[in-house]
Amino acid sequence: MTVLNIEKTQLTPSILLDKKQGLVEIKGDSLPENTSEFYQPLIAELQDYFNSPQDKTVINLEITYFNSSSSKLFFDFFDLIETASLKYDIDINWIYDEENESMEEAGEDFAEDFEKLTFNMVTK
Amino acid sequence: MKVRDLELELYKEDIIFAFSGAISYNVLSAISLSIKNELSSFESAKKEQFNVYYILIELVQNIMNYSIKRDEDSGNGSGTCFVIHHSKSQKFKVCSGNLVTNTQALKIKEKLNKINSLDEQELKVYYKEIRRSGKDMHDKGGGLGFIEIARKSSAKLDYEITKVDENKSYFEIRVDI
Repeated sequence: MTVLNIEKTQLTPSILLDKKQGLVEIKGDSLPENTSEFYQPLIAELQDYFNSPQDKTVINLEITYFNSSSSKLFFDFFDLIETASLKYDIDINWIYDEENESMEEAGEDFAEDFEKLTFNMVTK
Repeated sequence: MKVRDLELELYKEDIIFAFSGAISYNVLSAISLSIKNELSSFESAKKEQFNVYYILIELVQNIMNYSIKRDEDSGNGSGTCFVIHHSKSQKFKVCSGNLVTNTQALKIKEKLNKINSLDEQELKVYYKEIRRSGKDMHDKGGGLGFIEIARKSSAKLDYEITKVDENKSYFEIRVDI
């Protein structure tokens, strides 16, 4: 599969993984009924992608809300990315509403935990 | 009891949202939509509204996942939750209550006492430690919920556990935003 595209719903984000463009995007609220089941396709395709990634990979995260089980899932997601970043060039854009400091703090929490990753804090 | 009396009581207590009953994922989804609509009519800061939403949804998920089921067949936990917006102080408060086993009650007490003994910086460290270690964690994320609620609250977590009988207790929590 070269493109993984999952549409946004009220409680789950849209997910895009375009292997040719080296682009990953997650946008929206994350409150899935079963978190690991929901993100399993992304994690599996991402592992596959990093077997032969593009010269540069851009990850855009515009997560407007996530529950605590998604928090744990994102931790594992960044763990995977950090391992890949030792060999490959990866940029992460953490996009948040500047009026919502909670999402800014959430991004900073991840950035502190994954020091080897480049987190660009982007307001919209 | 008359419906009108209950409604007036809710109004008098500044309760802007209330739910009592079994919680399935569909109910959670409806509560999410409903509270978002309700909050959008207030002029309070976005961060404050976000924290009210965050805490309510986290408490509702606790009810769904950990409360004693009233109806064994449905598989959904039941409980009560409500949101207060004090007309005088303009402050929000999120409350929830449900039955738990006495064993769970002990665990909750231990967890909440630990959380209440920590300051803001220590809570952050504790949150990260639990998230990193995967300790107390499973797919439902139970280990993290209360810590994040405490981080988003403006005060210590105010909770009460009342023993009902030798098997179960009633657990309630009131969170100031």
